[in-house]
Amino acid sequence: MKKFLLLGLMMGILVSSAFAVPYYDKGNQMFSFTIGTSFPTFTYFFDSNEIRSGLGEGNTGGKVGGYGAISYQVFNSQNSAIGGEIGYDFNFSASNMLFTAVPFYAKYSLFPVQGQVDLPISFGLGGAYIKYNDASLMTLFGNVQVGLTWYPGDNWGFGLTTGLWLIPEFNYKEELRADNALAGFIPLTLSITYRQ
Amino acid sequence: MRTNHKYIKIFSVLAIIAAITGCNADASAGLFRQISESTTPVGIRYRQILGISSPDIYFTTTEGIYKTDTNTSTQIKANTDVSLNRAAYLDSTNSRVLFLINNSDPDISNSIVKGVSIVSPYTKYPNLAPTYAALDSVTIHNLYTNGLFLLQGTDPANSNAKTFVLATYDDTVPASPVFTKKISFNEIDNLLSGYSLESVLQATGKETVAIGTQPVIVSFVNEAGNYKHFITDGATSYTITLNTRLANFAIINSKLYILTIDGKLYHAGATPVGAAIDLGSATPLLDITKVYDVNAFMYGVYDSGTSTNYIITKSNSKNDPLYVVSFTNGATTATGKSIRYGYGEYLDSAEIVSTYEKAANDLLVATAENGMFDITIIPASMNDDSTSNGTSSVSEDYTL
Repeated sequence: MKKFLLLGLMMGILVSSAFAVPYYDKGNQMFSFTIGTSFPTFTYFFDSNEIRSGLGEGNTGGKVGGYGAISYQVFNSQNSAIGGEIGYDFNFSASNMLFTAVPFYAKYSLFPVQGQVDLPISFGLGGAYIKYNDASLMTLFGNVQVGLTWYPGDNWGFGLTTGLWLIPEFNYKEELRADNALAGFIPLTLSITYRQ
Repeated sequence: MRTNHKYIKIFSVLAIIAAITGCNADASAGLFRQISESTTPVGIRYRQILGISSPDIYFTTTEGIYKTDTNTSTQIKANTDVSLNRAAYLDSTNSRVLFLINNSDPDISNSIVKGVSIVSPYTKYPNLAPTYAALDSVTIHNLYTNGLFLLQGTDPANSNAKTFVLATYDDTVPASPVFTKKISFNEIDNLLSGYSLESVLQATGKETVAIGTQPVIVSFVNEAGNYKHFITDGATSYTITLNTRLANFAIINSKLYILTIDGKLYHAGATPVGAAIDLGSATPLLDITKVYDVNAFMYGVYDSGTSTNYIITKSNSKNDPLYVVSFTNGATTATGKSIRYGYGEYLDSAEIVSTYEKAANDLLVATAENGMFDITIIPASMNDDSTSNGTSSVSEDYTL
C-alpha cells in the first residue's frame, strides 16, 4: 500500500512538473529562515560494523534537539536554484551533555512543483563544526531534503521540510580510529521564505 | 599553463577537503562514540564512599550523608545552605561521622568540624573546635576518608615557617578536643618556601585505609608551576622528584607506580619506600596520551600466574572507557588497552568520584551521575575486552 502511495505521489509530482507553467525565472531569489527540531536517527561505526539507531541510551544516545538556519538561493534556471545555508543544531545526550553542530553547505534545489505551492527537493554538501564534551572537529556535512512551501501572496511563504543529514567523523589519531562513524539525523523544520 | 591550472585546482580541492575534515585532537574518544555510550543519570550524585561499618555502607552525596544496607537507605545528615558537608570521615570506633563545613563567613577560609552519630536518632554534635597547639594561625583545609585532617599554620618554634600538618582528631577529653600530628611539611625543613599544597593523593580503593597501612602522596606547587612531592606513611616522608602534576599512584606486588596528569606512567621503585625517589630523568613505562584528573581512578592488579602487573585507569573524560596498562615484572615498557566489557561495561560513560575495595580485585565504584557499581576483576583474564575479564553490577545493584 505504501509503495502505491509513494508511486502515486511521484507520478503526481512528475505530471504536475511536466504540465505546469514555470513560475520562476533565472535570477529569482529566495531568502529563508528555518527553525525546527532534529532527531538523531542512526550512528554507524565503520570499524565494528555496528549500527545504533533510535533515540536515547543504548541507541544513538542523543535526544530530540533543535535546529535553526538561514539560507539564500538564486535560480539558475526555471526549475532549479543554487545557494547555501548555515545553521545551528543542538541535541542533548542521554547524560544531558550538549552536542552542537554548525553546518554550512552549498545547496542545490529542484522545484518540480512551483507557484503558490513550491515543492523543493534539495541536496546539500559542505562542512560542519561539531562538538561534544572534549571532542570537537570540523567535518563534512551532506543532506537531502524535501519541503512544501505555501505562498499566500506573491512574496512570503511558509514551509515544512524534512530529510536526512549525514555527518561523518574521521579521526586520524590511531587510538580514535575505531570510533570513526557516520551519523544520521532527520530534521523536521518550519520555514518562512521571502522570494522575488 | 593548462597543466599548472590543473594542479592548482587539484591542490585547492585537496586543501579544502583537508581543511574541513579532522582532527579531533584533544578527544579522549570519538565524538559519536561518546554520545552513543552516554547514559541517563540515576538521580544520585555520589561524592565520597566513607566505608563500611557492618551492616551498612556510608557515603556522601550532594544531598548529605547516607547509610544503607542495600535494602534500606537512611539519610543521617542533610545538606543545607548553611551546612554543606565538604568532606567526611567514618569514625566507626566512635560510631560517628566527622565532617567539614565551610565557615558561614566567606572571608574566613577555615572550615568547621562537625559530627553526627551513626546510631539512630543520628544526633548531630555541636561545632567541634579541636585545637593544635604546635602551630599558630591554624586553619583546617581538608578532611580525608582515612581520618586525616589537613591543617595549615605557622610554626613559632621554627621561625614562624608555614607548615602543613596531617593530623587525626582526638577527643579523649571531650571538653578539649585536639588534633594529633601524624606528619608535617614545613617550608624550611622541606624546602617549600613559596609552595602551596596542591593535592593529597590516595590510592584507588584504599582511600579509607589508615595512613600507616596505606601511604599517601602529598604534592606542593609554587607560582612558577614547579612541583614537589612527598610519599608518607604518616611516620616518615620521602621526596619524589618529578616536576609535574601527579594524577595518582598504585602499589602492586610491593612496587610503586606513579601516573602523571598527562598520562605518563612511571615505575618508582620498591615499597615500603625507604629513600628519596628521583624520577627527574626517568623514562616512563608508557605514555598513555590521555589526560587524567588529580586523584584519578588507578587500580593495580597483579596476576601471579603470569607475573604480570595491570593498572586500570580512567581518564578525565566521562565518556572514555577504562584503560588498562600491562607489563611483566622488570619490564621497562608497557602496553595499553581500552576495556569496554566485563568489569568495564558501565564505567565507559561514567565519572568516577570514589572507590572502596571490598576485597582484592572487588571494588565499589561510585560515580557522579550514574550511581554505584560493584565490579569484580579476574586477574588472569582482566586484559580481555570481553565478559570473561570479570563482572560489573548494574547501577545501584551492589552488595556489601
